[in-house]
Amino acid sequence: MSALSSLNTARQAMAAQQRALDVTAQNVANLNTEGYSRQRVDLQSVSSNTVPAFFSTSTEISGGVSADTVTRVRDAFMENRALGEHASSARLTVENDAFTQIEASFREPGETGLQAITDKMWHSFEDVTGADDAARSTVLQNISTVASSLNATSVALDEQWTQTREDLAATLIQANATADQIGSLNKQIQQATQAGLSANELADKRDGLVLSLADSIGATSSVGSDGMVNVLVGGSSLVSGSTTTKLQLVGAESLDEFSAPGSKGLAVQTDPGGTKVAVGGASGGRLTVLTGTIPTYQAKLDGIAGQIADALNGGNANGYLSDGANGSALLGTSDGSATITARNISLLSSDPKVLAVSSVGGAASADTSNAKLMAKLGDSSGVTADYRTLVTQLGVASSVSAQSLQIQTTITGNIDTARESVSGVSIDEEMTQMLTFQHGYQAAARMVTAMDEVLDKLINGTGRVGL
Amino acid sequence: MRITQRALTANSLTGINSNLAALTKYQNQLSSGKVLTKPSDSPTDTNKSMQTRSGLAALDQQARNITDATARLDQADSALSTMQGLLQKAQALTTQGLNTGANNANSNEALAAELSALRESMLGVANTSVASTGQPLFGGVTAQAAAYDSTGTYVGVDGHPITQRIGAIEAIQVDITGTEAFGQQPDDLFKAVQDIAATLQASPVDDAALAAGLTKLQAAQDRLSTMQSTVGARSARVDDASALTTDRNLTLTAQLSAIEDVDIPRATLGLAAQQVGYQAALSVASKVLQPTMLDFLR
Repeated sequence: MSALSSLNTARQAMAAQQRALDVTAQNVANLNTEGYSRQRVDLQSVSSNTVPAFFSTSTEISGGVSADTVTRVRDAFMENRALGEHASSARLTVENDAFTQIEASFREPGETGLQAITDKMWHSFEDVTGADDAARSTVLQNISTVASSLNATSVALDEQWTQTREDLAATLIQANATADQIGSLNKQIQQATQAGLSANELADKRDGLVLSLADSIGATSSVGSDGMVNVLVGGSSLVSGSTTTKLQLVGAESLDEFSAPGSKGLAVQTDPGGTKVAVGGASGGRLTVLTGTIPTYQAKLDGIAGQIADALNGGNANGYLSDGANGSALLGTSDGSATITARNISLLSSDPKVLAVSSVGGAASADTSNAKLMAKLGDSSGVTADYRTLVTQLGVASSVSAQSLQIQTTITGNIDTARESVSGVSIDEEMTQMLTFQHGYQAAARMVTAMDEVLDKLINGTGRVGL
Repeated sequence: MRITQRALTANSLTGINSNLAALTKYQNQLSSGKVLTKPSDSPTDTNKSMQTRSGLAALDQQARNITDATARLDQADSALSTMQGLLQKAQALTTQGLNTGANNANSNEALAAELSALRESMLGVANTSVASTGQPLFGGVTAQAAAYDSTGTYVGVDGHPITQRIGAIEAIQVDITGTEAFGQQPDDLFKAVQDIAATLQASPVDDAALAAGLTKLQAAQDRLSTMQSTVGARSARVDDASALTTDRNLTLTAQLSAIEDVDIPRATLGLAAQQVGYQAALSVASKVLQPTMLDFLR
């Protein structure tokens, strides 16, 4: 046991406390850094030599303190759960936004909605009471308004589909870039870890990127070797160590193409490889909107357009023109297709003579009893009730989606708070740590002074008895 | 649970945001005056609102139908009254013709001429056209411009009553055909007047034929009276329907307002309560976020 060993212990203590203070400074500096996990120095006492040496026993007290490892304080289970909840939140947000937009396209309930316009159209048939062209022109004008209202809603849904598809493609491109970043960070972390360097900040940055991938494509992560993480999406590997797989969107380019019989559909695939990937998060939500929500409501709207066309065309064919000839179809398609959809429904002729309001065939007549029958077609064909059901269903689906989102937002908020409570920097705590380490440093420094005095006595005082 | 400054900030922000969101909801309701602006606000109310709106649209149409029916019936009533007057004059002239002692051939000739002119007037009245459509009022569903042609032949088309819906399911006939009002051809009112005029022109005057003519005019008058009361009865029904439509319109409008419009006292109270909550959240945030241990370190 050397007289200088205590000095050495005190030196080690001062170094360790200073390192701890450095870490505290780093924590305080990153108080408000998004995704930063607080760090702690693992102070460990260094034990004395416990292996007896040949012919010699040591009476060493101990070997001081070591402050080699600095660890990130975070809860891996909570982080994994956060990935899942963030993905759900992002998915529900996208779905709810889509519903809000669809609701806006339908413009119900109100004066500009399809219901008000069709009601007005059916009723206007009752205004046709004679041979005058004015009332007939009004009816045809109203039918044309119904057709263009259906067109407008259909176009709005089409545009929403195209917009959402573009968003999805852009999200995937961004996700690919993020995956690349995670891969290169993984590599840096591996190198740092193997060299025994601290990679805490890099790991924080990488975990933040993984969380953003959870938001955008529903990624989950698993721990790999040397501090790396592997990122999975729907069971397929996206990032494994430093190698990444790209994702791409394949399939229909427009809603028409998607809904056409024998369509290619729409899917997210690995590139290269072409394996279908079940994405989650915002992309999963967009995919649901693209393959489910919008096509469903477009198809229902097409159904309504078909019903209106069938009712009007049937009603007009049952009647006779003013000259006694048979009536013909009023509504057709604007694109020459055989099937009437909300997109292509259009009035075939705006000539008031085409309205077959008479029930008297074979001879010229001013009869209008067929018009009275046609005025009731909205109710008797069930299209009014069907449309109301459609809007109510949309309302229910949208409000369920809004409620799910509200619940999920609370859950995600709670998880984030819980994560923050584990990994976040508390000023009070850091100040306490600062004081603790400051005192530790001061105590160690006092040790040095004490040893200095002892040695001073030994060196300068020895042999000077009586002087 | 370990609480950090950032957690406090985040919690305060979440609280303040949700308060503000609720505040915005009330603000939107109060400024737009509507609680129901999209189906998801309340799917059930949306359904009710759409039904009520449909009902109101139907009532609007009924009101228009009733206006049209009233106009047609009023026009028919006034035409029939005019016809009554002309008919009475024809009866008077015929009676005068029967009064053989006082008449000579010349005066009979004058009576005949007057009767012929009366018949023209009668045909004119019978050819009245509907103000709104220009169709002949007594022509049924004829495509012709008049109910009777220049010779007095009926060219109207019977058998297809013109109706107007004046209630949810109630429809009423709004036209009277020439046949119904003036008799079946060839034995109608105009023929009777023409025959009387012809009889008066002959010399000597056939009194028996004149008396028979007078009987025919009487029958025509009875028919006209019956038709007038029919028109009156229909008008009364239309008036009833009009009152009903107005009542129903008020009820439905009130219903729609109850479904869609904001309950102002309730929303105002909600807004006030939410304001208190918002201010409390702000004040708590400012108090809680301020102090840290730093305030107490030298």
